[in-house]
Amino acid sequence: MIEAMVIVVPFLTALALAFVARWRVGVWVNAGATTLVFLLACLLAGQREVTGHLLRLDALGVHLALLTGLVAMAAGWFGLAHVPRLIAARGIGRRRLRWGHALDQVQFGGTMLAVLSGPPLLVWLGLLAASLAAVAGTGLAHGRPAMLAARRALLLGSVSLVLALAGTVLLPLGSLVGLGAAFLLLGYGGLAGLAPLFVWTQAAARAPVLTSAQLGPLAAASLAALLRLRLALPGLDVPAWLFVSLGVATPLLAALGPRPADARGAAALACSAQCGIAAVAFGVGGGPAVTAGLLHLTLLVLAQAALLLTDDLAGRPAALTRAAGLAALAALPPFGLFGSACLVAVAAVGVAPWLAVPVGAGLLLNARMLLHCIPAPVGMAQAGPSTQAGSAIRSLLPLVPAWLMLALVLGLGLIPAPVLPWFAAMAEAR
Amino acid sequence: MSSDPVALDLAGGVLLALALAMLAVRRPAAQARAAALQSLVLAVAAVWQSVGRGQPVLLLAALAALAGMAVALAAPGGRNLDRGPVLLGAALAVLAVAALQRAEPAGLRDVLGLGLATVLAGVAATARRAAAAQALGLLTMQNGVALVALGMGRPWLAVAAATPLLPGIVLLRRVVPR
Repeated sequence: MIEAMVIVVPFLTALALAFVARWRVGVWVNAGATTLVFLLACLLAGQREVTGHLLRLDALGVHLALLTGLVAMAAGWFGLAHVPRLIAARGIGRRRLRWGHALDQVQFGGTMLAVLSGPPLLVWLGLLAASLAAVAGTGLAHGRPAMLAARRALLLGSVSLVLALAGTVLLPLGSLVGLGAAFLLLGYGGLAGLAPLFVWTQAAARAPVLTSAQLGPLAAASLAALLRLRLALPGLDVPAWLFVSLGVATPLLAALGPRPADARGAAALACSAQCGIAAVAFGVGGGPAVTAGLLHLTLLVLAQAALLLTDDLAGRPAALTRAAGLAALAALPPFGLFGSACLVAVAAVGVAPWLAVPVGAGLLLNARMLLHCIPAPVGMAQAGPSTQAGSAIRSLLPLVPAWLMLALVLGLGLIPAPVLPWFAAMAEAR
Repeated sequence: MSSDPVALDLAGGVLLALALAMLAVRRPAAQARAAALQSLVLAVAAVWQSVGRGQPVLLLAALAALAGMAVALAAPGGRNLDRGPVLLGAALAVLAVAALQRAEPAGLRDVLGLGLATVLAGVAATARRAAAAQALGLLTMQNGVALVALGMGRPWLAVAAATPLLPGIVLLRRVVPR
């Protein structure tokens, strides 16, 4: 019952938001609905595992529902301060903003449907709704660059979705399970930002920040669909090595390709690269590798959200928070991605020692690309003059969601031991 | 009337031939007509299967395919398109058909091969620069997956394959600039 509400509430909210003409009301409805869904997702953690005809409530699904809910709630609360600035800067029209809120909820609901569904077709429908909503959100911002980004995201996202659907169709045929898995890997891998379709995440990252902040959970849901496939078919070698190959190729291609124009582009590329590292772990397989991969995936979603939720904020605290977000996404110590990347590397080397070279090179090149963005993040607001003492606290409030995310990334890096059993339980899910 | 695998194979052959023709032509109107004919063939195949297998839900897939035909015909005109990767599309199609020659069950080999070859020809079409050609490439991919689902006798998958990308294809053709 609760799992159904977690999926249905965002879609109902989207319907309601389409009729709310006043953007101030829409912002509050958005924040309230995401908070409600996150609280409902927290209740899921106490329930026992259930596998029904339509929905599946297991450790992996609950974890991803919590992660998706947390990021959406943080984005919703960030929107309370961000949207008035966006309106003032004429970054988006008021009527388009109404659709933007509705699309955010569709993206949220679609991701929840994908992570909590059992049948592969329902998982695909959830990812379809979420990715098409993200694409439509990309086209909402003013200007030709936004439209061109929307076109590119639509094309690449649609190709990924059709390939994934072809895989979903072929998978039940026993003799073609390898081919079906390969199609699924290319399709869902593309949605998660893996090579060769990783340009899609860069294009979709041009969306307004409330939309792009939820791209991380969408990528995690896509990779989780592949992980479920990998765990269900442990003896299938072709998808495992394809998984590893795409995972290894992604950070290398992302770092060696054209340099991104701004910090947003760099963050999207870095997210793809870190998804590649998680994919290596899932491809290698086995309890320790999958546990490390899931920890890495969780931390990268949080780090990306922390970085994006500082968008257009001025002042030294915002600039420092942004720099910390970039450092976290670059997998630098003491942030958690450093530790999880080391765990992935150790697990991968245990299976194939040569994997140390491409994985290490990918991580180093990715960190180098992001470090270029730290001194002066182009495309996001620069560090402005210090705020007046009277409004200091008010100016810090919009940073609270980003700090919450960064605190989690830092805390899980410094003391990962208490949460490792939680991730190990997910690695055993089928 | 019963379900006829030969009829589906024939439909698959027509779909693939039209997909390759779409890669070859450069006039937007000719490409749109080929895509519309492809969707029409898929709709007829879905109606045929619906009657033959007694699965009325396949009529929804036929309706979706007809909607796809309307989308293809509502084409903006304009300049000639860039040259399509015909050789790449043909090579991918041959690979798909050849790779499935050992697939089981044997009765599904041809329709699976032709459907997947159509999907891959559609992937090749999305490499063209013009948004209209890319959108029709997506439509081709979608038609190929729907044909595979029809051949496997999975009605809901056929409906799912034929329907959901249509709004995106309309958006790509009409709204998003070149």
